[in-house]
Amino acid sequence: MAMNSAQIAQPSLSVQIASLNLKNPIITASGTFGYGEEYSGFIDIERLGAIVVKGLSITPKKGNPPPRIIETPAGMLNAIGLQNIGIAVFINDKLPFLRQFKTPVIANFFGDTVDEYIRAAEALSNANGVHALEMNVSCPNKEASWCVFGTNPETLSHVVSMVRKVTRLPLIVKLSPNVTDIGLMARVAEDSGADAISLVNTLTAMCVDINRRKPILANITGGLSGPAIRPVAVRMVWEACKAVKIPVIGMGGIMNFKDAIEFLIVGAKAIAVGTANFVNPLATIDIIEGIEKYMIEEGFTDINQLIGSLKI
Amino acid sequence: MSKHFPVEIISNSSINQQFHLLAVRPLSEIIPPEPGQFYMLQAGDNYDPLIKRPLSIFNYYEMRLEFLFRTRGRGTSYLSRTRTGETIHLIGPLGNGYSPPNGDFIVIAGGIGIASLMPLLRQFNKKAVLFYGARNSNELLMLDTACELARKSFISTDDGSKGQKGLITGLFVDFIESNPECKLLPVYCCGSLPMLKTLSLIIESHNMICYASVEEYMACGVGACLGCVVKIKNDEENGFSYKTVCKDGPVFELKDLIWQ
Repeated sequence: MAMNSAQIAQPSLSVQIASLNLKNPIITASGTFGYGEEYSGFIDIERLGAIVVKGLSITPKKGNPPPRIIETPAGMLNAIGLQNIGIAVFINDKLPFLRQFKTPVIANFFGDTVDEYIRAAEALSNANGVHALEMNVSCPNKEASWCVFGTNPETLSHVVSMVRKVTRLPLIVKLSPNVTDIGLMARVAEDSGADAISLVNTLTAMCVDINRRKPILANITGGLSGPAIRPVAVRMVWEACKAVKIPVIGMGGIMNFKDAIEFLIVGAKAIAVGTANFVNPLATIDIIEGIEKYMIEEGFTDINQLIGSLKI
Repeated sequence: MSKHFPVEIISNSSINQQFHLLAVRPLSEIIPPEPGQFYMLQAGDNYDPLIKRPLSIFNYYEMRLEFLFRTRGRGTSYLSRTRTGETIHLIGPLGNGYSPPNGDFIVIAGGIGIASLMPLLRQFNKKAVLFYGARNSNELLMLDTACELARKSFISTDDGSKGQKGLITGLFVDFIESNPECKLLPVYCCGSLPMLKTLSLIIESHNMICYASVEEYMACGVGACLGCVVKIKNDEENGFSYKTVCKDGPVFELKDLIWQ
């Protein structure tokens, strides 16, 4: 007897990231979804696995002068300069809106110094409605000749372990892809107390105006995102998944459910949608529905059967 | 409020080499746009070009949106090649448009800048004194329509191929100096950066109110990516803050803009 649709059990999409229970593995990537309000008119926030908000710092940041963005082949380059309203304004003005949803809120944060990271983590950990922290370690360390925290194992280890001491919230470390050995950086984050890692942040890149012979972005270099970087991101997520036991959140150029499934297959427990939100404000919902349909068609009843199912 | 919705191309006509008029029919219910608002238009297939392109609404009536644009890069050339019957996706209406005038007003358009100002001329028929300038007569787009909608029109081109030879800002200065009572009228403008810069000096010296629509590269159109900022004067540190063209604008008071 043919099964009718009512008899097909809805597959389970729920995943566990440290102590966070996500109803599905689709989250938004920091800096591409504002503070949630920007997209709440387009999609039902409740349907998302989690929201990661625009990166926050203890003091507000004005950001870089324009031009800040430029389109590249199948991608975009940005140097926004971490413009943000600051943690205090976020807690007062933005968190109340986000608290009305059952969707967990992951606060992305950064600092120019280790002390700023610590103060940011403390302030966010005490806020009602923040369920996890994501540390952006791809910004320059003003105390150590502007090298980027996350591209040096020692500075990465130091800043992550210092933050670990001041928060009990799940701590996700967002790794920079601009390193030679991503597995090593992933292990360093794990050994320093991270509960999960997320990657990739944008790839450092540059575009030149050949008529003016000048960089196109005012900041000279920027971060590359979009489908152009996806194969690089898949490879790095695969390497990171092999290197650590903690959950890995994969991202980098995910535009549709097929892209998302690539990341799940190589081992990502969850995936983040970034640049795709700009192109299609409904991208996250389309991806959730696409994964569900794929699972039914392929006979998966639980998304955890799919995660890390790469055959080599 | 804005939406992401599919549209069917009704017609796509070339006005002259670089300029196109694109008419689309929304395939789902839309929110009516206000003069000065814009849409993000899908400008590629298979994610290349990736980012939607911001275009001002040029004309809107029941289930029809029209965009007048110049072909400049990969995205606008894609749009210029779309054909009747094809479907693309739009986001909109977006941004804060022109604050509606309360009576007579002045419009200053530079070239393709007319696209953003035309809905204002249409909505307030015969209320505007129009100043419309361009490099040459080919770039004075929809000139007859614009003049018909205005109470009075002044035209100029850089090369003298139509109207007065010279800059439109020159005609505007002559006009307000001989009609000082018009300094009380609000000015609405959209045009090139040099035009806006010259105009800002005129507006300041005559103590007038002017609303300018500006453009910047943008990715999202909804205030999320923070890519499209301009410097706006205020009391914050260093006397300015960055405001998004897409959400805080695209219309700003001209006196508040700080030029890069």
